[in-house]
Amino acid sequence: MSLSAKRLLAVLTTFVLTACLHGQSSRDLSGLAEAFEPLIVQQDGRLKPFDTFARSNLLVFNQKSKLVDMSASEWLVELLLYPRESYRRPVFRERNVEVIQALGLEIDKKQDSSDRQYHHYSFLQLSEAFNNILEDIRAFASKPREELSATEVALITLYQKTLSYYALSRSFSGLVYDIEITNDQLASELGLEGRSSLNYVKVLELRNTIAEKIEAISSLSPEERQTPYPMAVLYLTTQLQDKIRDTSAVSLKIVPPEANQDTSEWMSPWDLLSGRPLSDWESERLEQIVSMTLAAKRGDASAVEDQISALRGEVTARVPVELELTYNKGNFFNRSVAFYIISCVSLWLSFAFLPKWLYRISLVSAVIGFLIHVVGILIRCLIMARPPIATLYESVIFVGGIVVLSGILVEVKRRDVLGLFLAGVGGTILHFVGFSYAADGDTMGMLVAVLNSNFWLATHVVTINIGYGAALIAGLFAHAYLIVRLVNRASKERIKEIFNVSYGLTIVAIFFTTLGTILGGIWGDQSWGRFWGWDPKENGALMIVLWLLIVLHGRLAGILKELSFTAGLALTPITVALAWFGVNLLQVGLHSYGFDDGVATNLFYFCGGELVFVAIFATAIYLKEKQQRPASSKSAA
Amino acid sequence: MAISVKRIGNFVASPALFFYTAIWLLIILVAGTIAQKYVGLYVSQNAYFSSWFFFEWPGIPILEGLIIPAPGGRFALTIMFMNLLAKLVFKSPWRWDRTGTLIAHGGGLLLLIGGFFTAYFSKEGNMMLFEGDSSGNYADYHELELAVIDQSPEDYNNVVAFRNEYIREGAVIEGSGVPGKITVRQFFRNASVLRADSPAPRDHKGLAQRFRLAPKELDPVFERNQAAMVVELSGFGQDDGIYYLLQGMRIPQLIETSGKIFQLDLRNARYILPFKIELIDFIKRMHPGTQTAKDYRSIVNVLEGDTKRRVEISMNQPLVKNQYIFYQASFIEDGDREATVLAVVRNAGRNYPYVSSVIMCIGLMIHILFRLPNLMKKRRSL
Repeated sequence: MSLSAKRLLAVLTTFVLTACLHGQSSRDLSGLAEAFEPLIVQQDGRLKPFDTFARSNLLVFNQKSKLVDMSASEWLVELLLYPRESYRRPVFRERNVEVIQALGLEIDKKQDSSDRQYHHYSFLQLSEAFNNILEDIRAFASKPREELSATEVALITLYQKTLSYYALSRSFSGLVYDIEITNDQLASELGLEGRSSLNYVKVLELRNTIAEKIEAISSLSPEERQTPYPMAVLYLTTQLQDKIRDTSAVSLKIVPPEANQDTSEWMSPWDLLSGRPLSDWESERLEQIVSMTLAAKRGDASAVEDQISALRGEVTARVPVELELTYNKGNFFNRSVAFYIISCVSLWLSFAFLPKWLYRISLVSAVIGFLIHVVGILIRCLIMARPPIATLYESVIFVGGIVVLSGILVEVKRRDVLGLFLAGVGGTILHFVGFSYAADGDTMGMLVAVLNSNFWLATHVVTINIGYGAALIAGLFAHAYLIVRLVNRASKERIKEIFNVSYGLTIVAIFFTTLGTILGGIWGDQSWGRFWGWDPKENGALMIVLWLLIVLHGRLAGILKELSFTAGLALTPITVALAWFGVNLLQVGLHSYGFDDGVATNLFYFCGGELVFVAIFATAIYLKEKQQRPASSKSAA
Repeated sequence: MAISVKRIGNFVASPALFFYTAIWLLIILVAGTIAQKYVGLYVSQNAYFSSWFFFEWPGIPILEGLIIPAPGGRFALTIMFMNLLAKLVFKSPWRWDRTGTLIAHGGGLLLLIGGFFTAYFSKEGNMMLFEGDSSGNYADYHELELAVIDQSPEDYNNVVAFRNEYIREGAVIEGSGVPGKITVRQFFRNASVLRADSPAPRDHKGLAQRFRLAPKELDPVFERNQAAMVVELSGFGQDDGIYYLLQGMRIPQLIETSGKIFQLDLRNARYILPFKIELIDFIKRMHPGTQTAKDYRSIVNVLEGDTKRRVEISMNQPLVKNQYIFYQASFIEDGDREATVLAVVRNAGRNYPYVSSVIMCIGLMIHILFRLPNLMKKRRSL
């Protein structure tokens, strides 16, 4: 891990420069943001709309895809066009108290539940704070990562975020006319009729003339340099030195290459301003982005739209920009989880009053939520032109859909509330698990070569995830069985029915997990030359199959009675969670995607909670029924 | 006698036996998976999954240093195989409503048979080829051999290779075309070469004159281990002495005797192919602007006698030829040159999973169709 000392100093110098007396803007950027949204940006190998780029970047800094008072696109437009105002906006969300203390920042107290600015800091606050501990940061950065404490890693991560934020803010700095010429004679010599400022594009055009001016004043004595003309040249030199530091601000890649636009690397504005000779194509694109930026600075959204349309050219037809914007604005999974929550609440209320109506509302809400959920998944498939699951986030969202569908189907078949309730609960929980993965940035990442196979993504990956979903819903029904049997022992028929449903879902889960595991083996055979390699991910899938087979055969052998079978089945979600997330923590094996360090604690609590729940309920049922048995025998006698 | 055989058969065929065996297999599975973090896949696989019995629990921190004998994965899978076979022979109710389970169990049996063939009769290795090069052999991932290469013929080399019991301390190699006696004095599975602190004795030759071997702990990623050997040569004439051999060593250890030049090479065991593979071009495509590989593929010629066939090998699209399968595994960039790494597998049990998965899924599907409607029976009222 190493950070360039020069870069640190350069950026921090600019931090100080930017600590000027500008307040936070109340400028309405909604129109401009809307105009910018369809601009195509290449990021992480994918062509995506500006809006998605803005959202994924904001997630990195803020862990949310919008700010309290502005959308992600508005935030990014402000950052690009009015960076000094954006630097004062509390965008960085940092909840690690030790990091905040190490930076010497004030830990803001949460006033009430509506205080949504809790633990938010501006770029200026952070840059000033980092300035004070710069030596420490450099010392941390020179150490191997495994020797750093969690707080030190978090500090370096936050520091790198501030650097990225700054670099992003300078993406358009070569296009805007902010290099001031403070002397009329100099302006005239540079051919700037009626204009007192330059942009870096113009500087490149005039570089020979400017170099001559700088050369000319270098021979002057210190006294002679104090006159207005040399002072203006010196001031221009200082501004150019600052400007040149921005040449590394190349994260906003919006300029398509002339050929192979889908497969070649795109360019940022600063890539066109390196001073190398530009092709006609590149010069034309440069003119377009300058015009776009100037129009944006004027607030002319319509002109921005025109320039973006020209810049996108033929690529537009091949990149589903409109569809992705619809997906972004649709917030499909936020809406589906809202309906699942409504479904659960209605169902609870139906036990108290209006049972038939509230039950219907609950069922309809679950179905609407599921349909929105499916539409969200389908749009993602269309945007990425691949099957629904390729990342951990997509896997969680898909399995959530399977759980909800299974619950609804059971409900439609049996109409006994339980399927509907578990659909709502399971769907909601898995949505929130998915949201935690969405906070990492763009959820539509490109795939490594071995995963880049639509056939196997559509077969093995989908099947094993249906298996996860089926195993989870079987486990949820087992939980319901334990609860119902403990609190409502009178309804033996009902208990038996829940047991039967759990048993049936177990068989379905065995089918899909077995098929998925074998298909995974066949994929392994096709890709790596072996059907089974005892890789942690493969072992995880086998673990679920084995666990389900153990409880099923235990029941068949008469070793497990109805209670112990269901208790075993209720532990199935543990095997699913370990196979799904747990094996990634080992960080070994060929399935080196989806690794996640932060999940360990949650997984530990989940597994512990499940074990405690099953142990308490199974023991309580056993003891309760043991006590009741002699009593009922006596009364019968 | 017949009754007792049936009783034994009933026990072997019982779901209870499967239940307990599967629990044990699950324990091994968890242990072997966790162990991979600490001792790597190869050691873990040999200890837990490919063993009949094991005594130590490598890679499980709380059991480190303890001797706890336990049946291994191979034993558990054999019991499962017998259990499934016995179930099908002794305890199969040949009824329509049990068709699904019978078929599914038959598929499971076939899968285990395939596993047996793979475990005992498959050979795995890799072939590295630079663009323009061709090769008619491939190297085993783990097994080593000591090759004695007679370089005196003009157009070819005579190679005699010694494996298995010869790759250990105390092994003696003589005869079989070796012009003297080679005694393995020391063997290290992982070692590095360091410059010697003091002058070596006069009988130390080649690399051993200026360097010394430093044994190292086994690396969890087994392929990273570099084996080393100290061998003593006698009967070779003036070149008799002590030599150091290091796996993958670029400087050849040469011995001259009776007017012939021999090279000693400690290397991954090589298997001869009945044809050759020539790499024409290696193509790598990245996701634009990233270091993430989108696709890589090798354009090769399959050379067999006078025939030449052009084939493309890419991720998920292997080349199948005479029971050998070539997979695009990796690549190496060495300056301007590119090399492909092809995984080469010869697996007698390769087709079993394909057939058994179809059979098992048909069986499970039928079982679901028979059982599920009854289990999901609708209640009469809310």
